[in-house]
Amino acid sequence: MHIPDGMLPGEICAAGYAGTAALTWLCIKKARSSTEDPARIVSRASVMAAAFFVVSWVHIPLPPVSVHPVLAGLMGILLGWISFPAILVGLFFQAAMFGHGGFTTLGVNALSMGGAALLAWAVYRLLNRKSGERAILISGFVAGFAGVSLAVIFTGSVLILTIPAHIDAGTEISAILAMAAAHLPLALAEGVFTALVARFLLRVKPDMLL
Amino acid sequence: MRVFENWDTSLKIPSMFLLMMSMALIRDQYLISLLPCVAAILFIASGLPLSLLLSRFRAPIVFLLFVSVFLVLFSEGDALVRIGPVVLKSQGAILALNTCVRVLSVITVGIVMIYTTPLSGLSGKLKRMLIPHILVDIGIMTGRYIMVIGEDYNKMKTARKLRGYMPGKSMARRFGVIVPTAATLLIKGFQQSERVFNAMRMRGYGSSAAGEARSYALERPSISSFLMFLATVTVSVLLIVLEVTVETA
Repeated sequence: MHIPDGMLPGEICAAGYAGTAALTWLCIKKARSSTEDPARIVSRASVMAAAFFVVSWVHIPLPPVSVHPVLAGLMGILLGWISFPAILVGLFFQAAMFGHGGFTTLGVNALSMGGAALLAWAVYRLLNRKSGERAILISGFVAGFAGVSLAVIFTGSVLILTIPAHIDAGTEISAILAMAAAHLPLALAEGVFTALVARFLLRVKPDMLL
Repeated sequence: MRVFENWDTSLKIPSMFLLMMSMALIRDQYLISLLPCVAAILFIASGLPLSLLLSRFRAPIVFLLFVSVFLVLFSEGDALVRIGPVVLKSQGAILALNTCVRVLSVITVGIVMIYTTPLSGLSGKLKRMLIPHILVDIGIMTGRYIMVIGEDYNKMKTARKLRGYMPGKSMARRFGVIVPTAATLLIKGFQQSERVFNAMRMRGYGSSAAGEARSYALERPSISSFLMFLATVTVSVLLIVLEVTVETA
């Protein structure tokens, strides 16, 4: 789901960076309006980004294979506005350490994953108005599912619409839908994983949930 | 090679990033053939091992495979090969080849940029490059805590195995193992972030940021760093000019 370097035209990469810069500024501004201390933002974003980075090494079972969780929804639930800069930094380390994604495409990838995390957080807040395990399971599942689905749709759309091949519109739409359908099992697994982790946190450390 | 390591970071990162962006811009197939040459020159000059490059190609090659199959099958144009109902298109094949060459060339330049940049003093130099201080601090601290939390994860895995707590074959049992592991790591991270926050406040984080940036702004790059910067920027601009000229022609 991470677009590698050289895949997108330079102007799209530049637009991705512009969008990411604007969204990062907005997220940090919003986070600072709720907590005055920048040390709180830096400590929470950096250590939790590292924790999420390590959690992404855990394999989710998806018979007959197992996959790495995307964690966009869970990051949205736990970090709120800070999830965007945390994902941006996490994506940089994934590109540097494992070659997943890239440096020129970092802006576009951050918009895809970070935007999905923010939207998943909004969905979670909308659904999690009642307290209790049932509400957290439902809202957690939807947030996890939405996090993966939105990221896949965004990435697929950017990729297919920027490929300079002569491909008719019908095929392009079919390709985006096929890509989303192929990721459906992953989105479902991520939804279950997010719901169960959110329930665990509600039982053990409820102050972590926003 | 020491040349790349001694190249001033505040000149190396912007110029190599510009080079990567200009390489990503190239769509003309004749100009694309220049890209592997540029990437190869930089890689050989960097002295990095070939095994590193090949290991970094693994993830993008899977991605490129999917994109290539899509392009060869769904592009419009003349048929290259017919296999029953499946038609492989010649334009799609050329486009797929160009995409693969460009992607792997840009990735190579990215690898040279990242693996020849020393970590010491990186924070100050990134701040000097107008990257927001708060983002640089998050990045530097994330890098540090990935190691710390990664070590915690390995200890948890070992402890789990020693106690005979294995995931098993059923989905429910596997989730029953990975969910507490992941959630515990997140709780540890959260608690660690609280301790880090207290330590940062005790050290007066935020108050000395402006002074730190000013002191880095006084550093001057060497002449060799400046010449390498100039050469890289020239190649980047040349690539962009050639691409625009070919496109308009």
